[in-house]
Amino acid sequence: MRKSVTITAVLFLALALGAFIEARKLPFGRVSAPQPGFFPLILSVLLAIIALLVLVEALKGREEGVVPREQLRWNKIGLALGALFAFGFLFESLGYLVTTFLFVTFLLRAVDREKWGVAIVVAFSASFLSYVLFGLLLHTPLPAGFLGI
Amino acid sequence: MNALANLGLGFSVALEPTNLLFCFIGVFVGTFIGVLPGLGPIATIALLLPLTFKMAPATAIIMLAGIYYGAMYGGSTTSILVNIPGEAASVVTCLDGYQMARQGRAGPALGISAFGSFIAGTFGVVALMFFAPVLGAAALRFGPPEYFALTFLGLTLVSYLSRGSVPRAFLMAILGLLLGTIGMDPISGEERFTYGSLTLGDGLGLVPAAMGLFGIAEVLENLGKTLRGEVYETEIKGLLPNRKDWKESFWPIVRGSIVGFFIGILPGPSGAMSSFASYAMEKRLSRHPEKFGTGAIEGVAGPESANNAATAGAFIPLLSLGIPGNIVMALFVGALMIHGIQPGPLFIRNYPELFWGVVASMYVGNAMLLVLNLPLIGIWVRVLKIPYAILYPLIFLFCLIGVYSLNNNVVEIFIMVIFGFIGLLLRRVGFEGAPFLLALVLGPIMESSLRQSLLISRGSFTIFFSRPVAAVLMLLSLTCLVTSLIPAFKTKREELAARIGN
Repeated sequence: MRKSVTITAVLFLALALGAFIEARKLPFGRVSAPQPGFFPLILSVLLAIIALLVLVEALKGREEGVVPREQLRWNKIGLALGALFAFGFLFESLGYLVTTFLFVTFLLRAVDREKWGVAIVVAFSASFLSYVLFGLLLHTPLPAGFLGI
Repeated sequence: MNALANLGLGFSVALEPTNLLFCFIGVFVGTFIGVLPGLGPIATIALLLPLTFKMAPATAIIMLAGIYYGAMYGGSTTSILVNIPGEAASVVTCLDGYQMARQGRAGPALGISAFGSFIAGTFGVVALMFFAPVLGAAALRFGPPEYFALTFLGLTLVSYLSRGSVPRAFLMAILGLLLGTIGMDPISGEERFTYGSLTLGDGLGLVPAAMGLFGIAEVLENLGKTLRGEVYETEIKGLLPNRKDWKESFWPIVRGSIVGFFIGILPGPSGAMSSFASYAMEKRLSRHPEKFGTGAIEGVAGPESANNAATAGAFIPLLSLGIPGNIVMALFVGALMIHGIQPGPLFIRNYPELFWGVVASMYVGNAMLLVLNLPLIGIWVRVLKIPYAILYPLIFLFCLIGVYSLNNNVVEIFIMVIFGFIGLLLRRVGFEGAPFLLALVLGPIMESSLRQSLLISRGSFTIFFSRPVAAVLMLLSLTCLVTSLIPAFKTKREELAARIGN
């Protein structure tokens, strides 16, 4: 816990530094006539100061306000994340119906180990019904993909 | 008398068949998604937003508002039956509501929360009716320093009340402000930090960020957990609270309504804040405070009333000042802007039928919820029994289509998923998403009001303390900041924040 807070604080510091460098490239103006670079620059300095504060707190080993959390099964989370990214990549080329069917089947089979039958029935009805609801009834623009469906 | 004439105008709009229908759809869908874990009003409104582009503005806002307060109702149902708050605002309802359910009193708990919400919602609407025009007039005198002070207070409050340490919450808030500067400069229109990306040219999308940090992150976290709340297996009978219940709940409902409404006006996590304030107040005023946490009906009636009154209050900064106090309100701004309507001090004067129509529809919607919720609880319970393994792919799907349908832009899907993952990691180390998102919402208003103030004052920061309204707001914020550093207050704040836990 302490280690992860330390790492996060260091990342925030790095981010503040990056933001500072980038904000310097914008015109700052004067305090009496602030320009586009004014606000981001102030924010990057504030971010750095508070990140330092959090870092010191973490290094001193103070564990205030931390809610203990149970361990997570990261392999499941990883698979789900992969599926979400894949959905984004395939969505426009494969089309809504196909992508959705594959997406739901994958989540049910690979992440949750449901039976093939359950996975396919749920995936089929989910993609079909959501297509009727969003695509046909609500006119949400859904990509058709190469199959034209 | 003017108020009555206005209300008449409002009801004539709200009772038009189309508006009545969409009000019903709104509260029904709202309750439904409020019951589902991991799916809140943000994802739903984002999904339905494109649909509203073709509607009349009043119809659009009536439906979206219905989703918002409907979700509040739905959230309390899950708190009571499964001990899982559907919404941040119903966290406190778990404390006594779930205990009541375990004692076989789920019926009266659900009943009193529905009645309390109805009474408070009604009170909120009436108060909105009287206060909004007054505030609208006062708002005309609001200048940039007041706007800055108000947004500053909102960010201070959300940081002060977030779980984990205050410095960490502030870190998230400043990060939100910083990422909020991506896109066009609010004053000069110059592009900042876009690096040639067309998607970022319009700024970092609020909806992908919000759905990632809340929706996706929450589902991912649930997915990784082994334990799961079980629906409390009990026959729900006798939804009507008895005379004793009513006697015990009457004053908590009244107090909750008043407190909730005024807290609702403040930008920030007003729903959660108001329900906690009401709970704390009832516990303090009670003659038997030891009963709280073991199934005291006051502990359900007060907070449930408060968070519904807060919903009405939250419309005030939006409609009178144009400041969205939370993400849902920011989405309302989007819905209005599509129709070329800018919420702000002139809103009520320029669009009376829209303002009063929405107000009246909230009244109608609250009545619908009461009628709808009592007999439909059985259906909501059945929804809760759908296995999570089947439910979560659908919630993902909902988020994916929702974020895509806004701009038909796949990049926003990736932004949402990345925010989901980062949000989960940050949450695990005690960095919460709420301050970040509010900062993203308020950032542009904060920046332009700060820069305009400094132009007016020729670079002197005393301008924030020399005008009475701004000074009061700034002092309130500074008090929060200072007390969060003093050890004696620190533990108090942590207890408070752990309860509210946004």
